[in-house]
Amino acid sequence: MLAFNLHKEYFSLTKIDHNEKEQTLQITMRLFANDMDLALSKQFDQAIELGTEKEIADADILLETYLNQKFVIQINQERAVYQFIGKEFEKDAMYVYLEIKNITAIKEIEVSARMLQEEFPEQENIVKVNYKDVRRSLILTKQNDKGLLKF
Amino acid sequence: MKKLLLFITLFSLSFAVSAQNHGRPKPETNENPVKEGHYNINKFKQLHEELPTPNAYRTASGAPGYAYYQQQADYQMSVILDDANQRIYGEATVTYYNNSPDPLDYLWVQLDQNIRAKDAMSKKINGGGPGVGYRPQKFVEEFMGKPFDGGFKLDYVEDQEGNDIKHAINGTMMRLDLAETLAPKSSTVFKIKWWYNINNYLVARGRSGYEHFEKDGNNLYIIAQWFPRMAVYNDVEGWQNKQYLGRGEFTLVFGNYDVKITTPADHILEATGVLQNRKDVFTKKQLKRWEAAKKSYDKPVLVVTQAEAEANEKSVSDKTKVWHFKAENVRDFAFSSSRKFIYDAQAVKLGERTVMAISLYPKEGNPLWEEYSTKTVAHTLKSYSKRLFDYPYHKAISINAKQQGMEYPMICWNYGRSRPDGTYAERTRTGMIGVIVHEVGHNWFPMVVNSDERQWGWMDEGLNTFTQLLAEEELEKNFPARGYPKDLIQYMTGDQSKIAPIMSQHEVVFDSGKNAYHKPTAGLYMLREFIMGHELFDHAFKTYANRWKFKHPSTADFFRTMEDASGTDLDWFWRGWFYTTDVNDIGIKDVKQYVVTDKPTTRVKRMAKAYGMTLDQFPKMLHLVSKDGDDFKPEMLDKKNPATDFKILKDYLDKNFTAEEKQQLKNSKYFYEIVFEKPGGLVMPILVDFVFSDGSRESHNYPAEIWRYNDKEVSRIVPSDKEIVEIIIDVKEITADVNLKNNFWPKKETPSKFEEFKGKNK
Repeated sequence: MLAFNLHKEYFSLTKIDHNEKEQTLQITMRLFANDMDLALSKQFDQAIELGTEKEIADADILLETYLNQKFVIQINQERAVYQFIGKEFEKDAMYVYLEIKNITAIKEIEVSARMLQEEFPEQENIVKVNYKDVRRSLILTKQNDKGLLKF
Repeated sequence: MKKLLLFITLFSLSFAVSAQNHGRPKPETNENPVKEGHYNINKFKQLHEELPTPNAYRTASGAPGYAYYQQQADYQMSVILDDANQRIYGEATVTYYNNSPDPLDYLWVQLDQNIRAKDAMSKKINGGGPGVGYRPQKFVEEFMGKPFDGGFKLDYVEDQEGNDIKHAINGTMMRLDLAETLAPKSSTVFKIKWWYNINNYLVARGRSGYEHFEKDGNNLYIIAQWFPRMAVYNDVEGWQNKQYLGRGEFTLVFGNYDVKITTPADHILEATGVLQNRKDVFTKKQLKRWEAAKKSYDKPVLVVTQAEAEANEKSVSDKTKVWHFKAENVRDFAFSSSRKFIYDAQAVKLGERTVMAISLYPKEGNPLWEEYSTKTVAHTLKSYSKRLFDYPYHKAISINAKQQGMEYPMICWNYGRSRPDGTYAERTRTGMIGVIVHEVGHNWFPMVVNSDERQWGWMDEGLNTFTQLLAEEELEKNFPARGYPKDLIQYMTGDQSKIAPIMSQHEVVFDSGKNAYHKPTAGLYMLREFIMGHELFDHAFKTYANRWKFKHPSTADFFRTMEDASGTDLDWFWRGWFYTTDVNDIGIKDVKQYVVTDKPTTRVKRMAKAYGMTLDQFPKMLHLVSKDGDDFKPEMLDKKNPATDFKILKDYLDKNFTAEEKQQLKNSKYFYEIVFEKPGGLVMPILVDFVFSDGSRESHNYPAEIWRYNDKEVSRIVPSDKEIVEIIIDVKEITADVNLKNNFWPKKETPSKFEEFKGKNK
């Protein structure tokens, strides 16, 4: 049987790294391209064709809109605004890059990651935060879609 | 020796004296308690405790033993595909041969359709919240008390004379209680009649069923697990007694099949086995094209054209026709039928034999399918045959079925549909090619090398995905093949509570795609690339396939054969990669530079003293002195050429080597001690590249055994005729090293993916 059909790979990985020099949070999110294409196309009721040569012109805007609903970060109890830097594709994965500016010190960070869970209830969104060489991680599921890390 | 003894005595004495000098009272407790012992925890410990004791059925070398046996089941069946009601009606006469040395009081038969029975165990063992959405049919089935009426409905189970056979059904299995014990080397015959409702596999996922096309009202059937199949009885598991829950696939015996399938007269069908009555089921035109296809070695020939298929799907015939197939030495039988099928075929030369590569697809698959399917089947047949053994059957069929990827002997279901406007994404194209290579490849593992899929997913999926990766590399440059060691890093560094060793029963592994497919693939890739090498690996892999073709191999048979046929002890590798969830992380901890001197060093002086020798008595030698050490003196750097600068070495060379020979010697002038660290739990060879000052480079492979005495740290002295300016571990990223940060000397900051992307897009 084909591994793809087993559908046991419902997960995403989001790495959040603090860049001390630039005082930014660099966010790299890895999602399955096919799954995201399906979810976005359903949400916006049109074929988005993520990462194919037919990708629609405002795919990035729709993706950013989607992420703003599904992926929320609060730093020191304040909602952080991230900038959409871009996306790229590698094999079956899509990488999304986001950046949050003016982050000097983190006391606590709360992440809510609900990407793809409306489509795949089993979806697990793994978040790894690296702040001043301290690494912490969260596994966020539909039942438990929010986590708080204190530094 | 005497001197050494004296030294030890003196040393102990002086220690005793100094201890007394502290003047402390003698402590009551034992000052030097005996540390707790342990079992053998060495990573190189042999697998004697994990592998079963070899016996007459399976040898210690991994081959079938002199007493190896396997059962056989022959099936004579007739089946009706009722398209109007989506039902299968079947009748079978099964002859079961007991080749084992054991008398059998009962037989176990697998009723896999019962996974869809109203009260199936498979429906009760999965937790979870609500789904995203429910099609009306599914909603009624799930919440309104009208579940899909699946599962086998048995009309009778009887012996040859028509007497009922007592039987008990346990979920997806049925026990037949024989009137008389089935003695070794004898056979028994039973008859069985059944029917079942075919599931729409797009409503509820399944490996078989039908797809309904709203637009033209037709169905496309992919029919498998459709008849009561004999369970395996063997020396490893006894009777296979694990329920079919959905993931753990099938454990089946070989046998001969004679099957007559009745379909609507306007259906096109393909199945496992040799078609006996092509003249009755093909039109004259189609027969002619089929004959042409048998001689077409370079491209497929359309046997049923798209125009014919489109005309066909517009009406429904009320007549039927019968397709008659015979198959020898197969472990299963499957078929696919539809009014919508386009059919193409081409011939493939394998040695002296010609094998047919065949594809059946609805127009919704085109233009992708006419362009790529049969060609991909042909490539797979050639690539796998070369690596393992020649494809033993006369045809291999690829069926286009939405969202599928599933294998049966000679026939498989593969996804891949074009967009309605006839275009397709590159992702769909490579995905479709990948699934065809994979499913056709399953003809080797497990259709012929018939491992127990119910217990071990990796034995067929892993070995097949590995062979698939090699076939894909040959097919297209930069094909997005999956299963390279690098692809696994994210999985291996994940949450350990959600990772199981490969050696776990297939139903209980967490991420089957990675666990049973990609991790074994990456493991075999590493064995081939840098642990065994291509030649030893390929021979051993081929030996395994050939030893166990048309037989039932166990996990130990694979491990043992790979070692036995290559003369390589791989127990450490199986232990680490297959039996644990450890990761590989090897790094460079330190690099020290040395110079050569012929002057006695501190170490020499200490040793001479210990032996009671003067420095003159100590043998003349050359010594390596660390540039950071106390023995180092700047003038040592002047002696740049050890071969001529040190009399003792020069004299030796002059005496023992001709001028010509001396020229061929390596002129080592630079000496390094590299300290490797291993934070990872796995042992692995150290693949290290040296970059020299003139830009040239050299690759070294220190075998895994370098870690046998110290699992954490090991150092090597490296002599060089050129200065080393850079050292890199695993430069090709083929060892699944989960942390590249410690792979460089001097230390190098590798930009993160984020920074790389931002840099590119500035």
